[in-house]
Amino acid sequence: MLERFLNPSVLASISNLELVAKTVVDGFVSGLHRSPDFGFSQEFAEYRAYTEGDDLRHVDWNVFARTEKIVLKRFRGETNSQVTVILDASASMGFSSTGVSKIDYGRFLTASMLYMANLQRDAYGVLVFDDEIRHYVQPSSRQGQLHRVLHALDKAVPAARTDYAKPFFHFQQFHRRRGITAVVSDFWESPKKIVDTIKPLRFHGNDVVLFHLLDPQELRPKFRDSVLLVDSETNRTVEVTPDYARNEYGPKIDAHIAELKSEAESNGLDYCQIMTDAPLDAALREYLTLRKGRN
Amino acid sequence: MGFLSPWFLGGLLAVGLPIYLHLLKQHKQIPVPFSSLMFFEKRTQSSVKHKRLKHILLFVLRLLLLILLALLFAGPYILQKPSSANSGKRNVVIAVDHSFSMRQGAQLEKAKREAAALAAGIGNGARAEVLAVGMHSRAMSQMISDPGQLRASVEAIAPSDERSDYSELGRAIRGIAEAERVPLEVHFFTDAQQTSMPANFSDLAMPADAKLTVHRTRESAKPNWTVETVTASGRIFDTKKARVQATIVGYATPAAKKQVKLIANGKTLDSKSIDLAADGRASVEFVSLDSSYGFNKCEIRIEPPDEFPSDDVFRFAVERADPRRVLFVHSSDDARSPLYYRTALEAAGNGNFVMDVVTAGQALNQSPEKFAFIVLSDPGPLAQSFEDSLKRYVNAGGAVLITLGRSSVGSGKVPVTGDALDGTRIASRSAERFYNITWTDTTNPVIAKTAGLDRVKFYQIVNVQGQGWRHMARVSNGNWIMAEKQMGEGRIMVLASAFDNVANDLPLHPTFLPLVEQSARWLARETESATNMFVGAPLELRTARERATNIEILDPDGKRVLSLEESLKAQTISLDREGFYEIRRAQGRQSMVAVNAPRLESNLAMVPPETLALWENKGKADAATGAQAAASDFEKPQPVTYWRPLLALLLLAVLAESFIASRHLETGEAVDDEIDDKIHKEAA
Repeated sequence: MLERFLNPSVLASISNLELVAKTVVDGFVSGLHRSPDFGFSQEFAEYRAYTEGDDLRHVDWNVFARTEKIVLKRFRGETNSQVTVILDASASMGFSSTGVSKIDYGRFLTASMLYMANLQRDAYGVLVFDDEIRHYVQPSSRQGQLHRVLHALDKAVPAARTDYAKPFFHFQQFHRRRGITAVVSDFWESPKKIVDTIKPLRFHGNDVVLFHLLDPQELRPKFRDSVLLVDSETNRTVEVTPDYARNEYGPKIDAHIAELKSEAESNGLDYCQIMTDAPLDAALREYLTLRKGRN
Repeated sequence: MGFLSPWFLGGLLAVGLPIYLHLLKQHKQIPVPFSSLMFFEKRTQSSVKHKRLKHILLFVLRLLLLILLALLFAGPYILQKPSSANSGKRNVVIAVDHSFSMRQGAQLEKAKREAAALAAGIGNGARAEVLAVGMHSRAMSQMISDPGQLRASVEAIAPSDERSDYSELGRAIRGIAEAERVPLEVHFFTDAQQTSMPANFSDLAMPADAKLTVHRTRESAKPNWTVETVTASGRIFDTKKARVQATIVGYATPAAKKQVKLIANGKTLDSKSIDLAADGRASVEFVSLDSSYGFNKCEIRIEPPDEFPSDDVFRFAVERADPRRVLFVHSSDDARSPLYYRTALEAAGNGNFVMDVVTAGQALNQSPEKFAFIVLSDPGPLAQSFEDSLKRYVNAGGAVLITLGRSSVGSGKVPVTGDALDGTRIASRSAERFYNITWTDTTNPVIAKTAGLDRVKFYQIVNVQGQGWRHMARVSNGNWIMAEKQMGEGRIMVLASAFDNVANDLPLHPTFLPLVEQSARWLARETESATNMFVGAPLELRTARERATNIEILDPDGKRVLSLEESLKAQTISLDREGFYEIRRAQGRQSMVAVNAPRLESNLAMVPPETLALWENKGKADAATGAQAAASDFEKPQPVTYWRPLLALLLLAVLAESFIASRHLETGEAVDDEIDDKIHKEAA
């Protein structure tokens, strides 16, 4: 039943992005087991008798004052990650052949990831870019952060061309703290150039994951007759024959994906290809895997 | 090559449609936005090339389809010389005259022998067809080359009782020439009888390249005596009053003394000796015919027989019966009408009828079925039960003669038919003193033999309204005075005046006698029962207005002549054998008719040799003069149309176009489905 809500075409009918994120994450999380790890966090877990070598900072002095017993207060495990999602909002992200555009899918995905970070008390932020940085919400765990990021996502409208260099350069200037950085884009650029642009983030101790959003029509375009295609970013036109789309385009896009994946992995970046007609849980699972690795 | 309907070639303009659709129509491309053209390369194809590559076969098929359709309507033909397979070889027609005159001196056997000998000589690829020529030409075989079959066909020709008509041969040869379209060699075996020649010599015309040879089976005319006609009443009531008249004729005969016998049912009743002059004619009369009750098969025979004994006999049928009764119904105050009618009927009826006279009141006890016909002489109102029985009687085939006078006007309707009466017209009240008959239907059997009706003065006539009357006579004011009507199977005849010598002076005129006689014969249906007729003459079985009632005819051997359908529908029949035929009609009416061979066949005078030569040479002359025309007619190239192969090609083109078009569509959809499946698998 809940899987139905992970379907992007169903989510597209929900206008409230927060509700989308809640629906996705609650539906997704309800199928997972709670982590057995303990750590430092605000959520109380249990008391334990003090043993030699334990950190005195965790002694519950109130209990000692009343009972003269030294017990330690234990909390649920908590990481102290900073999650930043970089969302591509270029014009190419507005393409849709399934009813859900890539930008919408990216928003759902971003909102879901950030909602999960919010549940984890992580600091999180978002950056929306095309050839410039359009919106940037600095990572934070303060109250109201979720509304700020969702507002930024709401305002993300596909426009202009993609330019990874400029936004990423600026982003690296004030992004110092280590954390998780997810880049959600269709990556219509040379894989080497993309990776070269993004991999400096890795140097700051970030875990970087590339979410490669693709529309089914982009992977295997199907045309009955010759069509005149217009590039949504450059407005360049090309007359394409069905034979070309069937026979020549496929290998090229496959090679592009393979190269991007290879480049990313060789530079320590995680890569995840996501089709816009696929449920959101695959992307979230990828995120959690990465998040777990951080713990 | 040409076209039978070249204006249909205008349909070729329709080929512009596929040319426009496939080649000239702009390949409109609507720009489709796509996320990135990073991996798309320019593969622009010109519309023409693109379409040619994609739809070339479909385009060609559609062009072909339209061209074939236009050609099919235009009807292309090619002038071809007729097949030389048959034209270079002999094509023979063997015609044998099998008419009645060929029975004389075994002429038919001789003709068949000669024809069989000719048929046996057919060979070397030559073909022949056998015809039997009489009143009509009958094909005894197809155009074949097997001498054995041809001889068997000749042997199968049986003697007939028909007269021969040479124009039938000409018609048959023209038909064969038209069908075979080859020069013909015609051999005609006949006794060359003069009477077989048609009135118009052009009826004998042969096709231009038919070569006629007449083989005469007899060299000269033979003397022949025959019974030309016999006049006898078909029904007799008193054998002592029966009179039989016969006419004996001699053709090319010397003066001779002949014995003429009257024979009934094989028994010689009387014999008379006559002296015939050379080529003479004599009449014989027998004053009694001692026959038995019922139908008698009678004949007049000449003795001793001559060289052609078949025509020395003339058959006729006589029925001996009691006089038939006629019921005369009149009003009680009219005593003169029965007197006039009875006198006329007894005088003219030859004793065939006996009249019962009753008043309208007395008629109630009469049963109409007993009478040959009934006369309602201005009867006035009739008892309803009697009128009902009269209606049943007429519907079942009976007949009523109705006269209308002042008594009938009171009842306001015509008895039996119920048609309304619209008062009377009295001539003296108008400008005229009397009415005359100004128009008569001369095709009516009653009127045809009744002369002098125009002298009758009608002072009072009754107007009759109603439909379905066939007018027989009209008077000067335009009203009809005599008319007849079919009612069920029966007949009704009306005189819109009376027999009382008051409303008119008809009973006093000499024409009253034949009028009464003919109307009585017609009403009693005696005119239908011809006692003798000739082979080939039509015998009327029923009129067109008479409904389907079963009629059976038994031939001299006692076999049915008519098929089941013919017995219900045929109106006339032509009897083709000599002998006595029994005719069984509806309501148990029976009659017998004697059929004799046509007496034209008895005149054995031959066609003059020069006439025969002219006939033969006509074909030859035509063949000579039209050597070009002859060769001409058949060797002239003939248009041969090719609509069948065109139609077959058109159907193939339609099938191919449908197949390729549907396959093209299916292929596109299949590829799309395949791609969809693949994408979904990869995404999963």
